[in-house]
Amino acid sequence: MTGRQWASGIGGLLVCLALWQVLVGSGFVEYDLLPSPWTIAGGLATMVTEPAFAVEVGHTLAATLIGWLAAVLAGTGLGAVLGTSPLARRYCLASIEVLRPLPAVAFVPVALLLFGFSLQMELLVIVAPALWPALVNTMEGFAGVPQRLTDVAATFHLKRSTRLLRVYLPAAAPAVVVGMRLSLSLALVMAVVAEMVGNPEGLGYALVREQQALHPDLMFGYVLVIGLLGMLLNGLLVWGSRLALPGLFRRPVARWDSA
Amino acid sequence: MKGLRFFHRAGSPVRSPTPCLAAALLAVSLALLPAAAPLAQGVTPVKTPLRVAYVPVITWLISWVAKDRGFFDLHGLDVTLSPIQNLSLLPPTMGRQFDIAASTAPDLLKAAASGIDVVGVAGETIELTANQSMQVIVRPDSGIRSVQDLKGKVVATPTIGAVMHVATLHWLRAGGVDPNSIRAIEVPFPNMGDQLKAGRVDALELLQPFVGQQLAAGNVSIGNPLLSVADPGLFTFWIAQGAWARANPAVLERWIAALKDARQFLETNPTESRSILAKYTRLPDAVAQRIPFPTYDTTLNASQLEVWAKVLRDLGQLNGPVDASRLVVTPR
Repeated sequence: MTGRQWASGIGGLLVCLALWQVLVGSGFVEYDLLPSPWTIAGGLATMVTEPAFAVEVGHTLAATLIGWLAAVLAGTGLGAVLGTSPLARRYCLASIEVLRPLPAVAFVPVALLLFGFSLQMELLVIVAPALWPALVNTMEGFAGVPQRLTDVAATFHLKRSTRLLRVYLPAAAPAVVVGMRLSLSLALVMAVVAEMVGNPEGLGYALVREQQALHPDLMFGYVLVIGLLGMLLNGLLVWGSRLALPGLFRRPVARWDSA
Repeated sequence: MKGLRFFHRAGSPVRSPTPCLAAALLAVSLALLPAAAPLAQGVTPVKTPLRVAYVPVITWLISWVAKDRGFFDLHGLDVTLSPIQNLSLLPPTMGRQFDIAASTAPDLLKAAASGIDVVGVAGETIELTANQSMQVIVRPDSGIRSVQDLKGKVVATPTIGAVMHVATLHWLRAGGVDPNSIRAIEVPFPNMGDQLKAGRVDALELLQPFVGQQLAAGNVSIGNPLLSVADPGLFTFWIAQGAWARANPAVLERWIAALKDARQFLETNPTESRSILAKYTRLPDAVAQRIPFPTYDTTLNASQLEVWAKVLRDLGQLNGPVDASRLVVTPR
């Protein structure tokens, strides 16, 4: 991304913020719970100096990463099996399609019953939906390996492990990475949701707490922090996958910084 | 490790008598431990640990006063207070994660009807004409003047199925309005004023301090649904697991005594109590200083619950038989 692109991207954002500031500041838009960007910036500045802030960020970050890792490990593992075995797909695909659209928030009372107000409860609410993007994308990636590649592997009588590591994995990697990215953003969203409606910890709870305590500036501050955290995690994952799979990003892919 | 491997190879390990003796000694000393524990307790009285869940709103203030002013300690209780946003989620956690928790009649009765062993153990607040915490608020130009005018309107409620909305549905029914004719949408209290201003909703089920804010902004009240249930009527109280409550009447007695002390402190030291309120709710000081106190009352009896059971039954919200007389376990 060139400096010019950066400038125009940030410029657009600044115009929006200025418009918001003018509308709220002039009293044209007057709502109790909609502060101006300037007030939110002030709230954000006091918020980050509070010792509890680091704990809240740490909790949500830990819940997101643990949940995402569990979802990715299970999802890619199961996805690889389903992608390489038509028989497994025949028996499991219908169940997956039934389970996939279930709203994870509906599991909050069940999760609470099982684990109480705890990190485990949060993880259940995170892993249940974050599993599917990793699983489905990995499955599609493995199932979509071109026939000529598998034919070549068969002609060379490659061992099962070699076939997996040298043929299937490189061919399926772009799809797997997409699944991992989708899972990551979903894991963060679900961590915040689980904290808002269930486990009273982390950024999600802080957001609701400040809303109830009539601090809309802090509430929007937390919204902003969650957004930035999502951007940071996605950026790190893209950077990490570029390092791990240098061949993968030769074609331009949709990234936040590739516009 | 070597020894272990040797035994494995040998097939049948031969045990020396020393470990057997050590094990016997360990067993004897372990058996003696419980006998020694009361002796130790006799020397230094151990406070009873209590895990308590509350919602960070003024309703639960006397428990925070009891904690911060040392009334729980005074009565031999070691209380851990945990804030929870939604008290509807609490009944299933009783006896597992929490010993005592904040609740309301619809939450307790619905939990009991679905087979959860949960009972009311102490009162917290009551609602009465002389001191009201809830109001239904509308815009002055809305043309809505009474409960009858709410027919077909959109009503903002904090939680569908919770105490304030159940009371509102009962109020509508008592006023001759079909409860199904209104559309209820869930809105957090702080957002309700903006939703009313934007015209997205027609009426608000509001609680203090938000009632005061909206009245000051020029909006008007058309009544208090809680008073249509009973006046004075049970609003909020404390619950516990039934088996635990029956086995621990002395602990409950101390819990109630501490809350009573806290209520007395609140009456004589309102300023200090308000700073405790600001600490637990994080409300801005200006709001915390002006918010009216609800009427705290630690008594709780089955007839108060029975009124709510009838309300829920009439609204068709109670599936399964519930004997309200068995749902209160509190020391006399």
